[in-house]
Amino acid sequence: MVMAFLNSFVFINIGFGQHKNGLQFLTDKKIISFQNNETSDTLPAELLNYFLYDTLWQTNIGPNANRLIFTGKKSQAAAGVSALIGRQKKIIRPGWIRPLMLDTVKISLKPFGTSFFIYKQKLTPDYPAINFNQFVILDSPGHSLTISGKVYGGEDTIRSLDIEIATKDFLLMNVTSAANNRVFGKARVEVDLKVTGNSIRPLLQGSFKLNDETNLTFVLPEKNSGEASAKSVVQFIEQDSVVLKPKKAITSGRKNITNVGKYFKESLDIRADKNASFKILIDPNSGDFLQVKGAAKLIGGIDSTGQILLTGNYEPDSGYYELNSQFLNKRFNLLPASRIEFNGRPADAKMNIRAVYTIHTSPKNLLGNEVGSVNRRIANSFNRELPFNVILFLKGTLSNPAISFDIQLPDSNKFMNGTLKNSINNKLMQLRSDISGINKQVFALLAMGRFVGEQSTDFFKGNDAGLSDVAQESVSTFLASVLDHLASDLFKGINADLNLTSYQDFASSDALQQELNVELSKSFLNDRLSVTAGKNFGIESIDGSAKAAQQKGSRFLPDVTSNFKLSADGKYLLRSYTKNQFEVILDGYVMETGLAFLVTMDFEKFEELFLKKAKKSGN
Amino acid sequence: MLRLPLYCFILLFATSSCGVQKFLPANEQLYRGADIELIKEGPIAASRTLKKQLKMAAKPSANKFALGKPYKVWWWYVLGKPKRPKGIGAFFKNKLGEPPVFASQINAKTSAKNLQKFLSNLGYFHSTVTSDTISKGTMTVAHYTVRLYPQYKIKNITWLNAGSDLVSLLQEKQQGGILKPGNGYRLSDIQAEKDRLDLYVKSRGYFYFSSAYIIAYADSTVGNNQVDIILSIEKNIPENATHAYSINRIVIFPNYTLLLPPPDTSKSGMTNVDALLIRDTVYKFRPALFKDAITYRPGKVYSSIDQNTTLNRLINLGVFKFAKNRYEQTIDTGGNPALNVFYYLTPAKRKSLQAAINGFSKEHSFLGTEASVNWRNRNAFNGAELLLIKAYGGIEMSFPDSFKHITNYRAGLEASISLPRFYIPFIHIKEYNLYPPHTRLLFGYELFRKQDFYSKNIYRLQYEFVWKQGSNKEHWLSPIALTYINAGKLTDTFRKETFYNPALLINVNSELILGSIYSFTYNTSNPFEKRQWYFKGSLDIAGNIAGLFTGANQPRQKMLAGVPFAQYIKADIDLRYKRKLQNNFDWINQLLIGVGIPYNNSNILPFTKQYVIGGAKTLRGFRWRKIGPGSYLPTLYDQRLFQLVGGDYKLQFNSEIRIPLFAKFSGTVFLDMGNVWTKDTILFGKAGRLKKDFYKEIAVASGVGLRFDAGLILIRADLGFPLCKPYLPEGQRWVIDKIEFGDRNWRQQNMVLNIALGYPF
Repeated sequence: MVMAFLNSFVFINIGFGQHKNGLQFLTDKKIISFQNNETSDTLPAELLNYFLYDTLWQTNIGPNANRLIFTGKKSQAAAGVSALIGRQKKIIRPGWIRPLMLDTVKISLKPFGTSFFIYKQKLTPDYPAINFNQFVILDSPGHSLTISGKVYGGEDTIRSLDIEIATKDFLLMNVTSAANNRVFGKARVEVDLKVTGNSIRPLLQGSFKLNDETNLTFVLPEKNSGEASAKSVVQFIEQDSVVLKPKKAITSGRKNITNVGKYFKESLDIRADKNASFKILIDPNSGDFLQVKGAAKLIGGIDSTGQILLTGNYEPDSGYYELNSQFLNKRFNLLPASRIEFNGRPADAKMNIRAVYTIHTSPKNLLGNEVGSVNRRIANSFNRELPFNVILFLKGTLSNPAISFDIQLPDSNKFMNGTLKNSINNKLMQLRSDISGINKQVFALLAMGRFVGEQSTDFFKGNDAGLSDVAQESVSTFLASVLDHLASDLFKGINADLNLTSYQDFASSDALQQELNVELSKSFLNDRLSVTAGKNFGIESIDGSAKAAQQKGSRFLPDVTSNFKLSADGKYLLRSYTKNQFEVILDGYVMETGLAFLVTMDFEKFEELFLKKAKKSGN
Repeated sequence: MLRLPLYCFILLFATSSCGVQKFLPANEQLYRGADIELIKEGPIAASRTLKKQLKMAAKPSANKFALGKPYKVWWWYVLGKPKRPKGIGAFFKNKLGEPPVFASQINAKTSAKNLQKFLSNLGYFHSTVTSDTISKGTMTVAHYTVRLYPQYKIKNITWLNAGSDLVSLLQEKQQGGILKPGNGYRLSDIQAEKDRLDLYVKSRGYFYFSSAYIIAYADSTVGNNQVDIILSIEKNIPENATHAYSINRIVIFPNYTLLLPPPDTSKSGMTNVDALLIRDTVYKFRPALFKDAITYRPGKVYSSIDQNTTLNRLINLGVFKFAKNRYEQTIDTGGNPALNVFYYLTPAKRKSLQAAINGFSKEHSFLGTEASVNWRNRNAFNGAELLLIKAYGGIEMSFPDSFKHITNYRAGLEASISLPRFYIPFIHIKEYNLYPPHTRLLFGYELFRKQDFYSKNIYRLQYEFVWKQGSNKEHWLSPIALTYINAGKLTDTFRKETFYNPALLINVNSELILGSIYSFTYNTSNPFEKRQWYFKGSLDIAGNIAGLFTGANQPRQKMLAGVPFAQYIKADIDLRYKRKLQNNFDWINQLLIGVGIPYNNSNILPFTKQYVIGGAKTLRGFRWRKIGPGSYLPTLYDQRLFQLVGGDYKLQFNSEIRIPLFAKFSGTVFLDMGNVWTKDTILFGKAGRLKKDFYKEIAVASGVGLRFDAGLILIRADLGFPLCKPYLPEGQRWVIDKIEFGDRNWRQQNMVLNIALGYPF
């Protein structure tokens, strides 16, 4: 995050210096040097070419120009410009002796998205150093940033630094959204820094503060989830070039956690205003992001490789996690005490974030079949809509987030019936012991806005590793993989001796996804239809023939009974049936096909049937 | 009659040919579909199916066309925007029509990329697909050129890290599995193999294993169009997935409720029955029930098969509305990884009262309705015994018949008890099948009235077992199937008729059938298979022991309790074969062979056991009772007065092609043939008797049908006409040359419209 910004800001790491006979520019591609020619008043062709063509800079450089505007994306601009202008269009006495006067320079750098201006500023070369004496850079609204101090040049590219940078309010960055950018947004900073050390490993002291108008987005590296599905089945390798020995699982990604302390010796305060807001794009594929806002107080340092390090806890005041799946868009609000703990590289920061999404739905499907006999009033209260909190836990590191869920009943339901409340809490507690159960209900709540009723047949799945092991990088990938698992159960069946061919061709995942969505909604909504084949005595079970009979459009088996619940509780039922020769009495070898309408009333004691009626009329 | 739908279709196409063009937005063309050009780069077989697969994989799918016309798009535009989004207009628009797929929606490049991926998933590595869109008149075709290189074959399959128990187990099972050296490379095979191995190790104690923990590598650089498959265990496999678990404790909560869940851990209040811990505080269930239902015990190595079997058996008891299991990781006394198992069972309400009204169609063209009330107790004796008492009354009539007053009335009472196990007095059969067997004992009484003729009293006693052998084999055995029929209340009309034809008295003979029945059903378990089989064979033996004891050798000579008993052996075969054809057409065949041999005390099969033919499910060009047996043509008397016109032998073959038409309608073209024959001449004389050249008396009919699939039930109208009439003199039986659809007389005499519920077979 911050590191990205600073890496671009260190313009000094481009080599420049005085060569024996002339001026040398050390660009990122090659060294361009030209002879000290006092009479020449044109730019050497090679240098011009470099500016014009080798880089993508645009310039209106010309023989009579006294103002140069470079628009480019590289920070070399500062170095190049200063040298050229200082010679005031003529290479009279190139070198470091004369102060470099910068008349009017506009520098537009793509990663920063904003322009910086230098008006009538002076760089005083004092070989081997360059002096910055109250060197002012202005941002686009006109705020100033002052650089004072020395940069020691040399023949090599490592520079010693001894400068101070100060600004009260500086618009450092204002990028709307750029492709391939790890960081974008708006950054206004207040800086009071002392930079020592060298250009490879600068030592920073002082403070760096992001002001209230800051609104930055950090993009986490994409995980190649598009190819992931095919990859999980098979990976292509060349045996000779790949070591296939499985390595021991790495316990911690942050190997150097113990020795980062030494890089924080110089005290660099990094702060953010309480109104500064940050967005972390967790899943660039789907667009899931975490938006946080609040004051930060961290300590920064730079390790031996120039990598920015941060330490301290960031506790956002407010924020949310936004889920942007194909078919869903939901916002989880951050709960208090959520925080990000920095201790080393920013990407390794540990998240400890809890966010909540509240949904109003009836607990009927949740409790479903697991409530024994209860009186009618309580049974009715199951139908009432109640608020439920889906809690999202975002843990792991910023670069490798892990997601888990919980479902809770908010305490605010004061008027709730005690029996109902206990039942729900007992059920939720039971679910917590079974990750796959929670995952499935969370999926249902997010995708369909209601709980999904458990079926006894759901428990045929062995350990259910499918649903407890689902992808956990972001809520969107979680949803997609739950969808996959649920659907593959629907298609494949769970019976060992049913050995159905896999429906997947792994070809077009979009089409597949669509199909799954359709099938899924069908199965969730049409769980009122049940089919049995043969003399199965009409009880739902894992039955191959019943599954075969269920196949739409390929009805083939005789002796099939289908039940369709007209009411959710199964009191009213429509049934189609076939009776075979042994059941049809007196008619000889004759089959009977029919459709029946059934009303069923379950009871423990016969009085119940009449009690209900009495109550109804009483109401 | 036939012409009407035909005209409709012609009209439909003719009108739609007025063109969809005028409806299309400017600059838009309809997408006509994908066109695949296969260029083989080497010796490659079987390219036709591949071509078809590629065509289907190319997205988007084009609109449906018939005779080159996008008729569904036409309907879409013609029906316009419906007034209400869920109204009848919208219903028809969505059922008949479909939104147009425009050329602008094609992304041929992406599609080509997908096709290429599809090919490499099938092992056709290095094959390339290039795309092009071609405008053909008013439509656009996506043209894909496929350069197909030979499919890679699997050379070697090796495992990494051999040695660990888990890998050895996997390795051992993999041999002879789906992946075999020499097979073509297929991505789906690898996934299928992973799933298969996963199922296997889960049945060997590896509870926490998952197919995702098996990693497959493929090396396609070994040359010679071959690929090496290297299998391994995921390096980040969770620790608990690498152990085999055994069962430590099994706890059952038969009265589980969320209102007051019992504590999982406390052992108080639990009874230990056969090493199972049961917590049933209200004693709703006999512990022996769980002894049978739960197929494993502590100490056994965990197996997913046990888990599934047990859960299935618990569900099948029918007394629990919800059953679930939970496995908890623990360590047994020996310090080995183990699992505690908890069964949470929520009982359903014990009793229920059910009222039903139904409408039905019978094979022999009778349509009827029945009302019934039943009372059941799901747990009558605390062992999940289902006690059922049912009272019913019904009426059925045959509309296509030209006779009045043959309506049947029925009223009856039934009591049965059904047990979720084999129940044989003094014998205990222990079995741990996935599908628990059922035993049923039934008593029934029915009063049957044939309007204007006679009544019958039918008493039944049946003792039967049903069990399944795997998911697709079912056995049914009824060692005792006793039926006693006596008739009475003959009307004067009927009595008068018997003077002319004494054979009619056979209708009202009292009879005792002391039978034993066995039947076996098999079907292809995978509903996605192209070829599907169904087989049902049954054997019905009656009166053999009684015959032995009494020494009967003349029809109706000997009696038991004052009633002559039936003596026969009857065997049936019902064989069906379905084949999926192109374009979702189905070809379905049925062969029925029935042989009933009455002997000694019987000369014909009891009416309740006779074979009949004709009507909606058998010979759709002949009405029921207007054909057979043999070359006999039932007279008006026969048709009117016999309970049924049937025989002792039956041969029937049906074949039909089912064609999806539109929405939920489908059509069919069928061919039916068959007949019944008698053993004796007593009812229908010599003509009905089975002869050596019986094949000359096989009736043949053909026709077309229209079906509407309402989801729960299918309604069909099959229009048939005879091709061969066995009752005509030999030599004149084939009447194909006499077919004249245009002739009203011919139509009236020959065409039969069969309206029925459900498919004929």
